[in-house]
Amino acid sequence: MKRIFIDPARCLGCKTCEIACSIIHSRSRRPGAPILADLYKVVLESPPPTPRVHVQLITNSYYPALTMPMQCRHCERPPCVSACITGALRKGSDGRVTLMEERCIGCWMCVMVCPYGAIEVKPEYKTAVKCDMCEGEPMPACAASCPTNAIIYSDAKEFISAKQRRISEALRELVYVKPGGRLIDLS
Amino acid sequence: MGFTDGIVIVGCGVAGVAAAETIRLYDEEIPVTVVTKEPYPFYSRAEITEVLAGLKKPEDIIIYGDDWFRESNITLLKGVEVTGILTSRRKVVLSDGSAIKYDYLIIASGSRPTPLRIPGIDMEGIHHFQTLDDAVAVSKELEGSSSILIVGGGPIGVKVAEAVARRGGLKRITIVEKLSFLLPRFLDPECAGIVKADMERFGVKVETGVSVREFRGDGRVREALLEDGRTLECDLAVIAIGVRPNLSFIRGTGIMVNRGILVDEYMRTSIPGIYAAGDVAEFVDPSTGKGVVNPVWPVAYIQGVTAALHILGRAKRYTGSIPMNAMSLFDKPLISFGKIYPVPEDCEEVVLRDRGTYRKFVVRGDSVEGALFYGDAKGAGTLFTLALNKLSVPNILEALRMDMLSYSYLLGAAGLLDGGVAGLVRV
Repeated sequence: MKRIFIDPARCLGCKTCEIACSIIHSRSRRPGAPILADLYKVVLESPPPTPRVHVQLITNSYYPALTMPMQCRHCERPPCVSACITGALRKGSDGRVTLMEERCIGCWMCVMVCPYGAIEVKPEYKTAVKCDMCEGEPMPACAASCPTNAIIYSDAKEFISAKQRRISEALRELVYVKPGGRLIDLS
Repeated sequence: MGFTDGIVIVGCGVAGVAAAETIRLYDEEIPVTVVTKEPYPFYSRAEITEVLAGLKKPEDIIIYGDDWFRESNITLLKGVEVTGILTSRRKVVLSDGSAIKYDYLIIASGSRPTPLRIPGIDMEGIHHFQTLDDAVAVSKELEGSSSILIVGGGPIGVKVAEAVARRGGLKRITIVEKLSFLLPRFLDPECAGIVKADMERFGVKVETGVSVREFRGDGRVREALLEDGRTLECDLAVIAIGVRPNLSFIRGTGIMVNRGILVDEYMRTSIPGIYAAGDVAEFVDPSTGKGVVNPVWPVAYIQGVTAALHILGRAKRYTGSIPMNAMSLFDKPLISFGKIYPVPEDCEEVVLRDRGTYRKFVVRGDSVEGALFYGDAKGAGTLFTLALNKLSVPNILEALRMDMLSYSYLLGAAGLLDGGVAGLVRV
C-alpha cells in the first residue's frame, strides 16, 4: 500500500503543496484537469477552498530543516477513528483514514486526540477537514506538486529502509506508548 | 482458553460495541451476546442533540444497525434489561425472566442521569436527556411549547440549549447552573463568560449561581421557583445535572463498587471473569491508588477494547486518561482537557485572547497539564498528546506564548523529530 512520506531536509517552505491540495479539494476543479487550469475559479469560491496539508515551522538548533509539510499520517491505529462519535471517520482496508462528511457533525473529538494536528476545524464547512490521500487521483496532489520532492508518495515497504523502519518503530513507541510503557493509543 | 457459553456484554453503547467489535476482529467463533435495555441497535449517544435540533432523524444516528450485528454473528437482545448476576453460576438474569450463561461478562451499562430531588419533579413536561427516546420525547413536546428550562449547565445542558435554539420556535430558552459559571468542569470563569455571551446572542438565557427549588404547575409544569425567590415560566424542562454509573443490577453480586465498578488496568472487576468498561467503570490507577470515572466517548472506547483484548489473551494495559471534552457550540469549537481551573499553585498559565476566541494553557515546568480552546482549536491535538503522555518540551511556555502549537514545532523543540522521514519520531 502506498503512503505519503515526508523528507523535511528537502522542504523549502514554498507551500506549493498547500495550493495544490486546496485546488484538488475545491468544488470548481474539473476532475482530471491540470491542477492550475481552474485556479481563478477556485480562488473565487465561497467558502474558500482549504488545504489539508500545512507547512509548519520546526524549531531545533541542530535539526537540518526549518519547515516541513504535515498532513494526516493515516495511522495504523488512528486515535481519531476511535474518538469519532458518529462513525464518520473510518480506517479503510486500503489503509486510508477517511471522513464521511455527510455523517460528521463537527464535535471536534478527533481534533482533540490527533497528535499531528492533522484534522482541522473549519467553521464555514461545519465538518472536520482532513487529508483523504486524494482518493480517485493517481497521486496525492501534495506529492505530485512538490518541486523538491520533500513529499514522497511511495509504497511503504519500498520506502522504508532498515534504519528508517527502526525509526518508525520508535514513532510507534512515542505515539502509542508513554515512557515507562504507558498506552495512549485510543484504538 | 475454552469458550462454551461465550461472552455476554451488558450495554450497547460505545464501550460495549468496541468490546464486541474487538472480539470479532480476532475471533469469529466465540458466541457474543449484547444486551441493551433500549429498543435500538448501536447509535451515537452524542448525536441525540442533533435529533432534538431537528437536523437528523433517529435512524440517521444509528452507527451499527441490526444488519451489522447479524453479519458480525453477534446476538443483539434489545429492550431487555439485566436485573441480576448470579456470579457463582456465571449467569445473568434478564427482565423477561430468562437467564443467559457466560464464560466472560463485560459490564458496559453506561450511566444514568443524576436525579434531581425537588418538589414537583414528577410533573409532566420534565425530562432527562440521556437516550434517543428522551430526545424524541422532548422533540415532540417542543411543538406547542413556548419556553424551556434546562437545569444544569454542563455539557448536556448547553448542547440541549444549543439544539433547541437551532431548531427555533421557542420564546424562551433558559439554562440554570448552580455553580457560578457554565461548564464548570471544563472552563474557567473568563471563558465561561464568553460562552455565556455567545449563547445569549443566540437567544439562550443563562442564569448561574442559582438552583431550582421547586417546579410548580397543574399536573404539567408551568413554572420553576428559584432559590433566590424568582420564578421562571416554563412549559418544558430538561434535567441535566450530571450522570452517574448505572449500577442498579450490581447490588448483591459482590462486585466491588465505589462511585463506579472498580476495575484494574485490564478492566477486571473484583470477580474473576467479570469486566467493566465505559461510564460504569471506575479505573483505579495503580500508581496513585485513586479511582476515576471518566464518562467520555474516547475513554469508553479504549476501555471496551482493553477488556476484550484481555479476554482474548492479548492483554494490553490501560493506563488512565485525563478529563477531556470536545464539542461545538453555535459553530465555535470548544476543546478542554486536563487541569484548567483552578490553576494548581505550582503551574503557570498562558492565556491567548483574540476576537471571540479564548485559549488557555496550563503548564507545570516543561509539561502541559491542561489546555482550553474556544473558537480556535488549532494545535489542540498536539497539546493533548503532550498532556496525556506527560511529555516535556523545553521552554514550552515561550512557544505557547508565541502561539506556536504545531506538532513539528513542539516536537522539534523537544528533540523528538528525526531526520530522513519526519512525522517519524525518535524517542
